[in-house]
Amino acid sequence: MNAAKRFRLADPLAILLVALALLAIWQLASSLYFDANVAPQFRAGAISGADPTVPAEMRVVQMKLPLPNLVLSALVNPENAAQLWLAGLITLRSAVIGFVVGGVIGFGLALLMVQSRLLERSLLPYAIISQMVPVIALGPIVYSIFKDENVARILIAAYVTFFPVTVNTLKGLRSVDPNALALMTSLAASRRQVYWLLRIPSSLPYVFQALKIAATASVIGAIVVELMGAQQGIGVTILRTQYYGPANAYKLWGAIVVASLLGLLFFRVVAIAERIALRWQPEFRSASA
Amino acid sequence: MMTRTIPAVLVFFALLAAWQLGVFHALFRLKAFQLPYPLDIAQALVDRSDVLARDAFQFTGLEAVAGLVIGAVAGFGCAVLCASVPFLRRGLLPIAASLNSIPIIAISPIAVLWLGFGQPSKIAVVALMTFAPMVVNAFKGLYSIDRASLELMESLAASPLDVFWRLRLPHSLPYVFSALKIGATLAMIGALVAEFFNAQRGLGVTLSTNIQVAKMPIAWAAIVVAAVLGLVLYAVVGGIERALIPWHVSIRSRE
Repeated sequence: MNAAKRFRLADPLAILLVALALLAIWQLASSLYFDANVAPQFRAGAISGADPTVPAEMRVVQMKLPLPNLVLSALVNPENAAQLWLAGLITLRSAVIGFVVGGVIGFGLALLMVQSRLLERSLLPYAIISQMVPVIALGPIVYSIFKDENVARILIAAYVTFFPVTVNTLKGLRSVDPNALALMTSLAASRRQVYWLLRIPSSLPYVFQALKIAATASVIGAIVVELMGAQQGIGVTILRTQYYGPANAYKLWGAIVVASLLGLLFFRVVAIAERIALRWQPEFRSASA
Repeated sequence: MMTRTIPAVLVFFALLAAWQLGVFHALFRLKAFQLPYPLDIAQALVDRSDVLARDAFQFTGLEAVAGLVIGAVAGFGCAVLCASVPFLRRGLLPIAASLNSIPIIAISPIAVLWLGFGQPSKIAVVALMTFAPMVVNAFKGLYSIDRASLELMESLAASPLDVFWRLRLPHSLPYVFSALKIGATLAMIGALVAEFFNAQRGLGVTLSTNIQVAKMPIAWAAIVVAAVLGLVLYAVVGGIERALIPWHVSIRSRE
């Protein structure tokens, strides 16, 4: 328990300092790179990216390594901001719906498997193998079958959530404390009570571990589907701004930042839900005490 | 062991047969051009074996392995830094760990700008994807050592370097291998998806271009090859693990 506590030593001040240092390094590297590669008379044009008289290799400089302050301003200026955040929300919505659908089905299937050895032996190997193969490769196939980007995004997000949730839930349902089980049996607890009071609560740490993996994976899955020709979403924005070239450098980087924030945000929400649902776990108890 | 796998194998062949007999097509109202039949996919696997093998070994597989190695080495280095400098442990480690929940594939277009359409840009994406799991796991292994062993070594005046080589490093290996196993899967995903974005050759290219021209059997054949490649990579990492750390509980308990 003490080890777990030392382990969680996430110090907000230290994180802020390191983050600021990394940002400062980026800013410095970017401005040095800019000054070294863009001749003085072209600098204003290379920043905007839109001036065709600036040589192409100088216009692409900001696309490769933009000044972080200009990326930040692209994220808040009214011209781009609404579009970027809206695209992000569209992707996130599909990822979240797929995540919920996949999570519920995965949990349900694990409950069935724990009842039936035959079912477990027939299906579990596939759930395990699927974690070793790149299931995301199916994204383009699913999109080409359904031709509806929302359906395809939700299906893939559900698919990548489903497998880890099934495997971990099953592991959790199986890993009950034998003493607790013996106690409940000796008190003539019904099967239902054993599930509600013992098996399901003790599976939750495993379930949340899977959900945290799946939160990120579902966002990635949704973005991959978008690369195959969807019309809306943050993956589409990244693809299009890339094609439109240097005039969109900050928007491209802004879209990448939005995509990253989606992953971080979704993960954080699941981690907070875990903390609330598992208040009784030692690692969270010591952290809140 | 064999009798345990029978139900799974039966299910596999039952599903394959149902697929071939058109059960799924009837169920979901799909046409053959949307979902090709298994025999057509097998045919495509045979017909295009030269292209698929080239894609798998010279392109996607090579990118995945090279990126995994670079990402793992960099991640391990970062973990050593975090384990030895308390300030970095508190500040850098959480930031490195949060890379785990970022869709790294989104930076593929930038990697292409820096490194071109060829393989180096894919290797860079894979390295970035496999970096964070290694930092988190290797740090856990380097840091969560047995206090008594550490005290024993210190009481015998072991240098910090001795402690690293004889205690921290061996203790971290099982954690390093679990990161490599996660990384093996991530590396395949990274290489494939980076190829979707922008590439000249590779399984991701074969997959996406054949979907666009509706040659579904070839696209599915590319998926089959990618899945097999993913399994092989995972098995190779597992094999190295068994050879290097036969003493660890997780391996002994299997026998």
